[in-house]
Order: sequence, then structure tokens, then C-alpha cells
Amino acid sequence: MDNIIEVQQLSYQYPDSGDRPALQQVTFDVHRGEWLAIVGHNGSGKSTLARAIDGLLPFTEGTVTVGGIQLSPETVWQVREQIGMIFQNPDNQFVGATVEDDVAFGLENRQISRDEMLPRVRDALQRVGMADFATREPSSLSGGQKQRVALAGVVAIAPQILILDEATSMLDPQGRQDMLALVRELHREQHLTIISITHDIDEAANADRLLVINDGRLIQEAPPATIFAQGERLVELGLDVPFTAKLAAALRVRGITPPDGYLTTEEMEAWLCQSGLNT
Amino acid sequence: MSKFIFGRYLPLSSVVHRLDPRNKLLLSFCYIILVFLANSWVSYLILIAMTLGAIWASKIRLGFFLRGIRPLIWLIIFTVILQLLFSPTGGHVYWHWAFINITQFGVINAGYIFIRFLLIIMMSTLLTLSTQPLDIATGLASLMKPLRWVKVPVDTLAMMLSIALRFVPTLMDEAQKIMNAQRARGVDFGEGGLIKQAKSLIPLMVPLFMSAFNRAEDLSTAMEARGYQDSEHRSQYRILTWQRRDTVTWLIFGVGLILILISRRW
Repeated sequence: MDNIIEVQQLSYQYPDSGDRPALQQVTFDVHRGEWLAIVGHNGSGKSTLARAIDGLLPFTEGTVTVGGIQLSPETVWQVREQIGMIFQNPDNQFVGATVEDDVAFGLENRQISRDEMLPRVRDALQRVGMADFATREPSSLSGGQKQRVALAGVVAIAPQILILDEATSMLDPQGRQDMLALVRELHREQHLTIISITHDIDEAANADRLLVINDGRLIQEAPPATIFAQGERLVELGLDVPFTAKLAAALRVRGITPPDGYLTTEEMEAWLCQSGLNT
Repeated sequence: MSKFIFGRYLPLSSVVHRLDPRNKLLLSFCYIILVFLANSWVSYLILIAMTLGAIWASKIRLGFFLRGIRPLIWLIIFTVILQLLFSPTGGHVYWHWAFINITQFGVINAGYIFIRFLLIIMMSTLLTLSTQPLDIATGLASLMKPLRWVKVPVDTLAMMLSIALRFVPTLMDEAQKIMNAQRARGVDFGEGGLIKQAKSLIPLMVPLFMSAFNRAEDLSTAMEARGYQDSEHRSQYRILTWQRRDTVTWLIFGVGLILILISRRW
């Protein structure tokens, strides 16, 4: 398969963190058009990894190749050109004084002419459903709306890759669902490659593949179903268990044994209906 | 603070509101020169007519401007009284006691100063009431462009100004939140003696600074991730256009200037 990102033996240590490296010899590939989720508990190094891929951290060991270009101080802007990134705090990544200024910020940096910017900003806002808010100021928007504007900023520059660095972790459940639905749509329609860094289990369940990171090491790489099937081990890693797995555990305590392995909500529903528990 | 009209923006749709902000900044600046050029009652009458005309064109109620003057009234009265009591001797002396002379000259001067204060405050209030802060920033940045020739980093300054403006409401909210959080823990803001009051600001200022630095860190990372390298090699989304109505304002201003120059004799 076509790899858009290749990470080889990546290591990084924060300048004042003592002996413990933030990343240790991390190696993985991301396929073009794939949705990859990177999960791990707080401080496991997953955000560091995202920043390293975008060239925001000067790692000393290992290599990162994005779209055939190897990341180095000379190529960092070419690499960033291909990557759109959304960070955790909706307030702190809002550069523009109004919504449209913020969406245009990335276009301005690429020295795109104003005539081309106007329709692109409008379309991007339309895409995320924020067209009516174009002239509003950030302080008058909710967290979820600000993240949608951040997403519009990414849509406007149309990158190959979208990195979500815990982009939904400061939103309420509704804002989180809306945001994920939007990202899913973009993924499907524009064949974006998505890397989502998260400890939200629903977000991880959307992914084609999961990377589990613990203490700066990549400890597992598998589809969500395989990883969710591990149940209790997820809790040890500081992750939550998906709802169906919790339900399965609760049923086992009551002497009912659902099938082994991870069931999606639909599968669980189907099994419950068949098992005739409601009679 | 809410009483302070000066520096606030009133969203209305009038000719004045739609003027180019660069034009309004220049006009306000030149208007101040005009105010100091005027030196006779007739010239002040012309100025007052111009000011009232501008206010009328902005569709903002006159009461708003008068309320805007209220917080500054003590400063104005103080200056006028000083002028009245300690002006150099000249003309008819009305009243004399020790080193205090109330002279004809002093009374006229005090009257002029009062009017000057009023006119300048009203016009600058009109500028801020009819122009969004963001437009003022864009206008200023555009007016500073020529300073590039003397190596002033105009684009960087413009970026700093726009970020500063964008974070004013955010930091105000943050300050309010921190104050409430500290109140909930028993800090009394604005209570007790002077030193105690100053001390109670520490639990507000330190977290506020910390938070501002963290925000700056996050923002700069996000800006870099979005392809920001330097402030010069960028295109501009927000542009200003000079329209016919902007030219017309200068015609009016020119007429006013000529009238005042003529009326300086009386």
C-alpha cells in the first residue's frame, strides 16, 4: 500500500525532563487515505509524536518522511504544506479577529491572492456549517464552533493529511459528535489521511487502525476491534473501555455470556435481540 | 467601566460608519490641528458646525457623546479653572487677590480651552464609536506602510496589534473567571487598606500572566503549523478601499479649513 507518512526509529527527549525520553524508537507507517488513531494515557508521548511529524519539535534521532519528503530544517515548510493540524484548545489557536480572518490566515501565509481567497474562505465555512458566522468574533462562539472554524481553516488550504491533536477533548459531547461527523465526511469525500491523537474511545473506534503508545513506546498496532477485545488491559494502559465492552462485562457478572471479542454497537444490538433476553 | 463611552464601538449603518478607516484616522488627526488653528469665536463656531454635522451624519445620538464626556468632566473643569486663575495678565482685570488674577484674557482663554477639549473628545469619540477596533488596526497598519522605508517592521507590528486586539476580550473573560475563582477561595478584591488591596491583586495577576504566556505558546505553535514563517511574505484578506465618499469628506474638510483660516482675524 502507498505510504504517505513513514516514521523510522523516532526518539525525542524534552530538554529538561531528566532521563525519561518522550519518544523511544517509534516506527510506523500511515497509508494514504487511512484514518489512524494514536491512543495512550496522558503523558504517553502521543502529542509529542504529532508535533514531531509536523516539524514542530526538533527531534535528533530517527527520520520522518511525509509524501516522499524527508523532514529536515530545510524541508519543514514543504512538509507542513501537506499537513493541516487542529490542536486541543479551541481558544488558543484562533489567530484571526473574526471567523473569516481566521480561515484566511493559512491562505495569507501561502500568499494566495485575495480574489482566490474570498471563494475559498466562503466555501470552507459553508463546508463546516459556519457560513452564517463569518463576521463573528471568537469570544462570541462556543468551543465546538471554534473548532469547526479551525477545521474550516484546514479545509481552505486543502492538505493531504489532517492531524487532530486531541481536538475534541475540550468540547461537550454534542460538540464532539458534530466535529467527528464533519471529520468523517471530509475523510470520505476528500480522501484525507487522518491521524487522530485521542483518548476518546469513540473517536478511536472510527479509525481504520489504532496505535497504542505507552511511556513513549509504540506497544501495539492493530484494528480497533482487536485492541478493544482486550478489555481490562485497556484500563491498565489508562484507556477507557468502549460501552459495549462494559455492557458485556456487566452481563458476565450476571451469568450471561456474550460472544468473545469486541462487538460494535450494532453487533451487540443484534446479539441481544437474538439471545432472547427480553422474553 | 461600562460608563466609559470612549473607545467603544456602536454598530450602526451610516455614511460615517462606512467611511474608510484610514480616512477617518487621518481626518481625526487633521481635525485636531484644525482645532488648534482656530483662535476666534467665529472660527470656533465653524468648528462646532463641522463637528455637529459629522455627528449628525453618523446617526449616533448626541446624548451618547455627552455621556462620553462625563468621566472626563473633572479634568476639563480643573484645567479651565487653572487657566482662569493663573493666566498671564492681559486685557481688563476683573478681580485681583494676592497672586490670583482673573483677567479678560484669562476668561477668554478658559472658554477656548473648554471648547477645544469638548470638540476633540467628541470627534475622537465619534471615531471609535463609528469604527470597529479591527478596522482601526487595519487602517493604522496601512497608514504606517511608508515607515517601511525607515526599516520599521510594519507588518510585524500590524500582526502584533491584531493579535492584541483579538485577545483583549479573551483575557478580560479570563481575568473575570480568575477573580471569581479567587473570591470563591476567600480573596477580597478592593477591600481593606491600600497595601492589602494591592496584595490581593497577586492571586489575579500571576495566574493571568501565566495563562497569557501559555496561550502565546499555543498560538505560536498553531500559527507555525498553519504555515506562518514571517509577516512580510503574506497576502492580505482584509483590504481597504478608498471610495468617493472619502474624497467628499476631504472637500468638506478643505472648505472648513479655508473658512477657519479666513476667520482667524476676527
